[in-house]
Amino acid sequence: MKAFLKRINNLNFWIIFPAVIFIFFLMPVITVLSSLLGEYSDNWTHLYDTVLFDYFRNSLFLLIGVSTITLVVGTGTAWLVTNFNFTGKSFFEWALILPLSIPPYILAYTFTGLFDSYGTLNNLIRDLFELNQNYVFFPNVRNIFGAIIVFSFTLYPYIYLVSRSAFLNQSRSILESGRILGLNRFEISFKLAMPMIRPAVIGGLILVIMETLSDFGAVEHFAIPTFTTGIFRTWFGMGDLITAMQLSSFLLLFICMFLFIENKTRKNAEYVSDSSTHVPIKVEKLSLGYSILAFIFCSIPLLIGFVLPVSELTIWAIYYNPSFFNEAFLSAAMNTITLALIAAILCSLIAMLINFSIRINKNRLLSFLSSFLTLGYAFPGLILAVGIVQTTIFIDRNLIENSDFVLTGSLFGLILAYVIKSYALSNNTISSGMDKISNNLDDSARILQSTGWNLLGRIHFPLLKTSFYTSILLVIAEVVKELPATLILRPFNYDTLAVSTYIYAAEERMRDAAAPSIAIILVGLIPIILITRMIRSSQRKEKIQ
Amino acid sequence: MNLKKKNSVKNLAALTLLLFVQNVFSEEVNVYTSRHYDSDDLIYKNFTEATGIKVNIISGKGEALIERIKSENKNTSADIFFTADAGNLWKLQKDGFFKRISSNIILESVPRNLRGPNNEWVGIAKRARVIFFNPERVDSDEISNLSYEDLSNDIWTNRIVIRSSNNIYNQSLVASLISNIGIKKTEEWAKGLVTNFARKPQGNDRSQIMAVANGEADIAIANTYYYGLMLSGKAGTDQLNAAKKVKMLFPNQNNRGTHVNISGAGILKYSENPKNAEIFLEFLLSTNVQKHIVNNTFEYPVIDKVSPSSFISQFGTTFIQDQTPASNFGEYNSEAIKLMDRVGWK
Amino acid sequence: MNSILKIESLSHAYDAEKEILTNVSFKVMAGDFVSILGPSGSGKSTLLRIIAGLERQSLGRILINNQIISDENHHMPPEKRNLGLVVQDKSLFPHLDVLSNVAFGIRKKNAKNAIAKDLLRLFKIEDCEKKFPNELSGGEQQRVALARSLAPEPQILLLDEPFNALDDDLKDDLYKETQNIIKEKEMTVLMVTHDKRESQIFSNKIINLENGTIRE
Repeated sequence: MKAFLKRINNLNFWIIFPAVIFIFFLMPVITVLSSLLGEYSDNWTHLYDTVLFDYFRNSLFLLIGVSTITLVVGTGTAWLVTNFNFTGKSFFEWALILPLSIPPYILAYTFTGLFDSYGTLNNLIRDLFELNQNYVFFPNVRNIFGAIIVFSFTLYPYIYLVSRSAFLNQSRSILESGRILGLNRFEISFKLAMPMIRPAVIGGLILVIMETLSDFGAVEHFAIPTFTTGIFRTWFGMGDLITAMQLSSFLLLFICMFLFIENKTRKNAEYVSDSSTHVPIKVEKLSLGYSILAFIFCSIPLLIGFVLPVSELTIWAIYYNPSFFNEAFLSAAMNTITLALIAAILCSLIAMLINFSIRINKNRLLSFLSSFLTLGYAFPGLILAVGIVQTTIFIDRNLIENSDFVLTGSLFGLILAYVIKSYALSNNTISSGMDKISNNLDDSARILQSTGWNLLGRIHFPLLKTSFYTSILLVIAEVVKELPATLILRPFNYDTLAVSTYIYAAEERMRDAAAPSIAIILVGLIPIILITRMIRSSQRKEKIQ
Repeated sequence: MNLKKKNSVKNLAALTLLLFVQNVFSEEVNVYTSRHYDSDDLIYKNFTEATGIKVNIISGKGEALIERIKSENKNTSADIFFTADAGNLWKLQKDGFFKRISSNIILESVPRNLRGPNNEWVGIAKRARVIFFNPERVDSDEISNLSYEDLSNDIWTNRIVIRSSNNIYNQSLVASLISNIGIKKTEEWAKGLVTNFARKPQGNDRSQIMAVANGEADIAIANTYYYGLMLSGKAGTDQLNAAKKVKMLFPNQNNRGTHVNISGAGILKYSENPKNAEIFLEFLLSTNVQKHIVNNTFEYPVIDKVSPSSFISQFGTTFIQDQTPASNFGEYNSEAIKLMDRVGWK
Repeated sequence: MNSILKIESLSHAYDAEKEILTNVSFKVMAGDFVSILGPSGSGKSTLLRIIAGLERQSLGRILINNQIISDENHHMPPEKRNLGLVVQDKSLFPHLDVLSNVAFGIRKKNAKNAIAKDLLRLFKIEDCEKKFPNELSGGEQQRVALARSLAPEPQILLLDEPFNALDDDLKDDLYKETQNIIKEKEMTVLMVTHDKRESQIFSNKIINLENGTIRE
């Protein structure tokens, strides 16, 4: 025993810390998956007889529909914007990512407010054309088709970004070889350029699929039975937490399958062209007719995914003026900022410490650990909440006797959920920042007797400041949008903007939901601005060439 | 790390931990409520002014709060569970999470059938789940002596709207039917009802009433208080005008009576502030608060000293009320959900 | 005898200041192996790209088999010219395996794989069939590029310093093989190089290009 303790004492902080974080991340996962080994209640027969098939079918349908549309829209707009010059091209190049600032559930709420039988747009049509009160012009959106549209137009930017980047990196001479070998201009794009970006696009598509599967707010509002609503219903409607955890496990395994596919395709096909001389593609100017078509094609996703919802929300917020400054909104906003800030700082710190640890230890196990931690983003918020609730209960019951100190219901669970979900963001930002710090610096510092905390504090952290702040901003934007985990894990007197939006929408009080929705979108614009800056600077570089 | 740094880290850790600790301040009452009426906030405020006891609210869907309370178990911070459906109360009652109410003030204010079987909880306000119809699209003979059971008849095809089966009010209605006419008959009824839907269940109760006003459907099933709210004008002129287009009727008047449900509350067994909780309940049942409830949420009062709001009472206060014990709604809740799943009531 | 390729008074300038090519004219007969020799910057790559159709010349005409391919009035796009092109960086399609790369331009649908395999054998890389470009050595990649350009049976093969990036001993091997294959297929070849020795090994005609003009 003594020897063991001595051994632990010798292990430095840098190894223990990642291990501890790893355990925290692992606990909810294990808790959820462990339910698979437990008993399967009668409710399973009921589920099987009634709704389980619906969950599968709807989820599948959603995935197919959303994948198709996002692929067409995302790749298509990227192709247009990288290969051609047309009216509005430089605007669209960055504007096409705007819909990313709108979480799917907000678009869903806005849609119902717009397209319901007695929603804004139908009322407008009736008033404009003086039609009968019974006349309904726009079709009902509260169904799977409406959901497909909602997800497609808020998530296509992932595919757009990834395709655009891949197209820009394509070598001109490869495409020209294709032309010599007989492909005409049209075929070059479809038979060569697009197949070549496949691995990148698959990565983006996996992200789209995971966000679609994880959503709870939009599908619930549209009353579409899917796995997430099923999990929620089984847990709270039937009071069967175990079955809900088992359902969650299945969803989780399903998601793991996608992660596995993504990993495989990424490894097998390093579609990076070998050319040492990378000549960028020649941009062609489109004739007026095609230019107009291109303009329209790029406008549609922007209109549906951003302009329409934002204008409508603004109108609602203004129409119902007091909303922005009433107490409920301000307190929700305050809570949201506090929570987001804490989670962001914590997450960034953890990412920094772990990446630093990997750097100075060069331990393969540590790298593996860190990669595992980044998988957190794939974990649906709802399932995280399930796992964390069980975990905190377990800790409370078995490890903490004193009843004054209670983990369940405190901010701990919620912040843990946020950190798990956002770790990948922080990690990517900070690790790419750290990569830019040359190893020579470390060596020089070591000779000067600066190691460990000293090295981190005096050398690395100052050099990482930009990455650190970027990471904080990105995590804040991510956390502010989160809904299902927040709904379930939040403590006393703690509504966030997302929760307020949800509650108002559930009561069909769309106008009240406008103010918190707009606040969320504004915060969601932060990462967009960052990305836009990058796009604009690359546009400028192109011009100089 | 040298000692000084170790200490400061420890202090920092302690401070951080405080963030995660639920401190128990003196003179508080923690209310887990699933009622989402803004007017309740005034009640809480007045309570604090009158008694000096701080009211902490955690609001959420009934089922979510119930799961939370169950998971928290002995460590719960909840003192009061306040909800808008008896089904929810039963879910906690059956597993023994409530502390029996002993205060005479409370017990004497609330009629027997509106309390838990062993006084685990009490009703604070009543609501009926009634039928709203558009008089221009419905014949008087179609609706004379209408009962819930009639709604599965063919004459109502494509004419009925009701909200989703996810909602506890519907679950309690179905539970009540199961308790009165049995599962088999209720299932047949539900099957017929579903084929009569004018649209896929969507929106809340108010949206059903609006649908009838707009002509999207002829019949809606919804709770009485929404109607009062709309008629009062507090929800805006659109809703006021819509409400004027519909009329309300109490079903099952020639048999057991209209389904009545309660907003109710109980004190949790592991509450840390049971005395404050009791004072809170007594407050809720006081004349002023009952009046406030009646005039703001348009529910029916439980104490007899107070009359319902005129917007509601114009349709009659002497309607026959189903005396099925509210605790039955909870008992059959799970069966109700499964039944609704089987018949495809989404 | 009819020439297979005729360049008439070709001039080209990217901008008003500098002319890359000035009044270039020459003829190529069927079966010729013509080397265009010149230092870097002499405009040889541009000349090749213009012949291939990837750029359009400022002035002058190109005729293939006495048909006007390109002049001020029309410009046949590269995919219709039935030429072959091998460039310095090989430009193999990274997402296709070797066989698919080579078979890419073959028009006869049913004989595609057979023709491709045949060429792989000729270039002695038949066991690379299922590999991907990033798995090949420099020499192997160059053979694949050559095979790919020959597969569609082009009228003229254009080579832009194809052996430049290879080590000397690899070069010698490849020279012999390429010569044999070209002779066997009776290919007409136009090769751009700055290596005098190369031009002498292969060609029966050498055109010296300096600063955009032909030096006799």
